[in-house]
Amino acid sequence: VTFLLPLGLLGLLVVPLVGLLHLIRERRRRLRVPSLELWRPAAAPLQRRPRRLPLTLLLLLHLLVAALLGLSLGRPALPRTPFAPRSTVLVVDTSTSMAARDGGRASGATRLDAAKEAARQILESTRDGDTVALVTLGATPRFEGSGGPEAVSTLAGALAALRPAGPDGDLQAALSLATAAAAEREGAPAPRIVVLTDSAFAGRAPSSAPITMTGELTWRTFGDTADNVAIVAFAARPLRSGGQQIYARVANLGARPASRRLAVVLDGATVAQETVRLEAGAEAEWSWPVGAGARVAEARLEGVDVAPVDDRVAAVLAGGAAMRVELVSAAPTTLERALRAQPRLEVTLQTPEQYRHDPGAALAVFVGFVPSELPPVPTLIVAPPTGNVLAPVAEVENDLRADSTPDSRFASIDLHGLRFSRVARVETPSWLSVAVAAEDTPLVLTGVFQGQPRAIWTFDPAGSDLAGRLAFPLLTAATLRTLVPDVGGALALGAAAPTALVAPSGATLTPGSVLDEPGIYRGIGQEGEVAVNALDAVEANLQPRDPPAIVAEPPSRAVEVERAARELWRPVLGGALLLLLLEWLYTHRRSLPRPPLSRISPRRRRPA
Amino acid sequence: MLRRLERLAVNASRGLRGGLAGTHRSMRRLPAQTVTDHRPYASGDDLRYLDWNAYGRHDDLHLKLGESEQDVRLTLVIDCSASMDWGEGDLNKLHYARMLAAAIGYIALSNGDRLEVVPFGLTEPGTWGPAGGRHQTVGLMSYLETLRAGGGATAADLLRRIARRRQRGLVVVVSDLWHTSALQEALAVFEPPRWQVLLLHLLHPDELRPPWSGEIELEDSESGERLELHADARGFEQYGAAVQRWREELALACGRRNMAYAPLTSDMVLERAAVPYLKLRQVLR
Repeated sequence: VTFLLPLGLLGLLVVPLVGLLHLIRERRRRLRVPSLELWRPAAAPLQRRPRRLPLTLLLLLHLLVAALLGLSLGRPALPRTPFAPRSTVLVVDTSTSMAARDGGRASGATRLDAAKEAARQILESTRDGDTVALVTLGATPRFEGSGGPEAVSTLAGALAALRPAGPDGDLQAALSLATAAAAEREGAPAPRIVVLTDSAFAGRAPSSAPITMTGELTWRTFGDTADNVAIVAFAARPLRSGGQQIYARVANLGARPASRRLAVVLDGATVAQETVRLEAGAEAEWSWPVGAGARVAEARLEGVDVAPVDDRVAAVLAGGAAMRVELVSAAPTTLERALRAQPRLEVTLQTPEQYRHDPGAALAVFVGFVPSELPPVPTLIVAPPTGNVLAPVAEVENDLRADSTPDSRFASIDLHGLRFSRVARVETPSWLSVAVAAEDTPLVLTGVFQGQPRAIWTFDPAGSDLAGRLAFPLLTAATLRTLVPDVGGALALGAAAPTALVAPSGATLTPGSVLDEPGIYRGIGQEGEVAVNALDAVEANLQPRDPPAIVAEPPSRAVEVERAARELWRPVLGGALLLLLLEWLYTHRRSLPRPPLSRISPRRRRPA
Repeated sequence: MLRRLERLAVNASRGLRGGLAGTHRSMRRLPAQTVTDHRPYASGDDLRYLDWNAYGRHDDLHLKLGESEQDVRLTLVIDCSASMDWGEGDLNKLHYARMLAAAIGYIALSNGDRLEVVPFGLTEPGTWGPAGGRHQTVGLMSYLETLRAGGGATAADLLRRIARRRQRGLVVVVSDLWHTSALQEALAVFEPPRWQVLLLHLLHPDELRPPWSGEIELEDSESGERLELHADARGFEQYGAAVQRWREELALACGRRNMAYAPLTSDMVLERAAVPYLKLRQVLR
């Protein structure tokens, strides 16, 4: 404790003064008596007692009051300790894997709940001068807000509203956002970025280059269970016979063998059941032909595991509005069949020479052709020709095998054993990211150009052995989903609601709301239903993985500021006044009103 | 109150020699209507007191004799030393002594006694009396009003001078008896039956039960001597025992010398407590 006004401590001189006053009060009073004659023998053994100040309660109270008053005059304060303000950015992983409940309980706290609690504690430790920001690491990294201690309640509210949904976001983008959030204030202190995650990274890092950031990086990992069985693929394909073929793929992503039962439900009625016995890391596929007329198909893994969100999937088999696709190709291609196999797609054919953008088309597919001006709709470019300006082709390679799927949306497709031919090795522009690659040659690229999602297949499906393989329609569907999310009447968990929807739980969602619950959503104001599924093999894999390479540049030396001293004279003065009140009560205790005797002694007087 | 006092009298012993006017019984036999004795007639005797019945039976002239009444000279000795000026208001010892002297004096004057007031410890205003008769009451009161405390208790010479007087009588001493060891010796000269001494020992109640506590310094009211002490229960117990012992010794000493001793405190209401108490102690009757 320091004193802001040391001269005020001179007030402590009152303390000995109080003692002196008590001594004077206690000194021998001179009394005149008629005679000392009889006092002498009585006083003889007593008169030489040393004079001393008797320690009475009154003296103690007076000394305490005097001391407290003297101290308060000196303006006591807590010391001005140098204080380095911190800038903390909380990066909270909101991927689907954070919905896992460790221990396999049907209820209880999820990993995200634990992460939110840890984040809340960090928020509440914000001191004066500190800044704190909140960034979500979800499908799209989002900056939720920042500020000093005054913003803690707002950030806590945003934190409480977070829901686990969608695949892992772009960690690099999230860290860049966090660094920017920390530096947005002028003279901001060195940032400390705290990533709260389950370490089940989806590996969507766009490149192998390490992520560079400034500041101190701290990882907080939640979750200790990795065993999980998930439905990682579910699709329905119309049959020529008029019925549909339902396809499901189940993966055991844990480290131990698992046994579950898989049920297929059509419009609420179970039509098939399979026993799933999978070794660790194994996958199994099933397909069932079903008759026409079914509206909704579901697949369920019975039993409870760590992540129930991926144990149930659904698909809308009938209903919904059709979407027109303009296919521009010089010759018929296997892609046409794959496109036509997708539900609710109307395919129109054009040759490159005749090409004129159809304003009614919601998707454009160019095969071996790139127009001079890309249409203002999502676009898939297949086998880009040499000399195109959009993605210049350096060389053409053959007989490549896909060995990596950096984009988790393609991770559920079994591409092993496929050979890709006439692969154009393109110079990847900055707006494109690799989704599927064969060694260092991209096979599938995705990105946003001129405000529209674009995808490039660098290979020619006709020259590859894709035709007749189940992976081809899955690759087509996955690619179309990157371009038009609701194609096929299915949405990924974590996507934004395209229109007003009613969730399976009955909650009404406004357009743009995050779809965080798997199941069938019903449209409001328009016909149709849409299925929302996890179907993310990477998210379903709860195995902790090494974080991506991150180079954290050391922050510049933190600027120390002096915290404003906290003055203590008010509580000290309050204590003195309280003691004065006690002293008054003690002094006047005999003159204070007392309760009547009848209230003290309720006994009745005995009759005479 | 005065009427009640008039019905009282100082209890004087029959051995005292006083005048012929008074209400106190005397040991002298004089011709009287109330016969207690006879003696042979002698020439010159008053024929009114001849016992003609005895003459009828015995043919001898006898004179009827009876108890005569007498007045007594009452000397009120009031201690006006500094130690008497102690106590507040009505509890002041000198004030109480004046009230007591006024009551006793009025009783004496009402009974035809001759009264003299002799203060000691003062040079002024001197003595009052001797005087008799109820009409002297106002003068007595006025005189008592003038009494003030001061000086030391030098009463021994005064008492010896009184003792040398021819006319003996009743001596009533009102004093706190502090610093009066010589006075107690001097009282010894008042030998009965010629002298009768009533010693009224007046103390303030605080002198019996001091109300102080803590560190105190006591100052003697007459000598100025000081004594520092720590007043606690034990010290007061010792002091109280000493006072009690002192009063008991005084009572014994007075008893040995045929002096009446009455301890009084100044908180006794004169009419309701002190006078009945003095009657009880046969100081008054």
